Amino acid sequence: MLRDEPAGDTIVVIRATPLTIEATIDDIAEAATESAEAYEVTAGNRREVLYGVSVFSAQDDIETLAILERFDAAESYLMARVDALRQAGFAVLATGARADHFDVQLLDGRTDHDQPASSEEISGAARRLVEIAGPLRPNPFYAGERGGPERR
Amino acid sequence: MTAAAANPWHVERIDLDVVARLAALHQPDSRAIDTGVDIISDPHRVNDDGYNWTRLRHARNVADVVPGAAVVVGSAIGEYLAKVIAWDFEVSDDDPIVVLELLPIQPSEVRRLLARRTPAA
Repeated sequence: MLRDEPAGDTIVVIRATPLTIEATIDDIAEAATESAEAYEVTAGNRREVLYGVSVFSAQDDIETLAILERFDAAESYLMARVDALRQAGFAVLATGARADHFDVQLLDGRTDHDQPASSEEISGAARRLVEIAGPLRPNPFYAGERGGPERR
Repeated sequence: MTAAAANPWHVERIDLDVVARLAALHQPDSRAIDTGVDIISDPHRVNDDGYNWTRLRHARNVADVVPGAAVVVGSAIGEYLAKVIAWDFEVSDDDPIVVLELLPIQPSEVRRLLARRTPAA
């Protein structure tokens, strides 16, 4: 099921990440691969496989912080402008029941009659996505491996 | 006027024969074993009902992730607590989608809670 496309004033999408770029690319590629095994979306008048990467949208700093607080086990996060993603050819699709949840379509135009994308193709697209987003940013809510200081 | 909410205690149980069949086929997920969690998932995912989802192949032990179970979910961005809501066989009979409700509480907070609990005198 798709909701409406992200509103024009939706500025950024956010995804919590591991600490390194390479681990982030692996994480995104795996997410897209598993999405493609299970989901399709309607693009124009046909169905295509969803190589989707889940992200959350934010329109200001308050919304950004609210998202990051949910992922306090993550050391870092990616933030990318929706228009930058679209200009690079990545569709940003409103998916799922939450109003702030979207999928970035890593590889578009493939139907379930096509050969599945190779791991190199998926990793390459994941790398491009990460490059558009720029450097990983530290999550201000990161609580450490044990989830925060122990109380006395 | 108030609307009736879904009963959060209600769970669609899986036939024990089905659980046994899938357990016999299952190869424990290596990351779940290495990190000691029950199942691996991407905590960003949201399905059309608002739940998180993963696949049964990412479980450490099939019998621990049946609908109704409380589980520790591992991911590339840490651990989360969840309740298993359902198994969805629409995509695969042998590797169903495991539908999870992520709980807004840290595993470490639960450990603290249990550690300070003392039996009644």
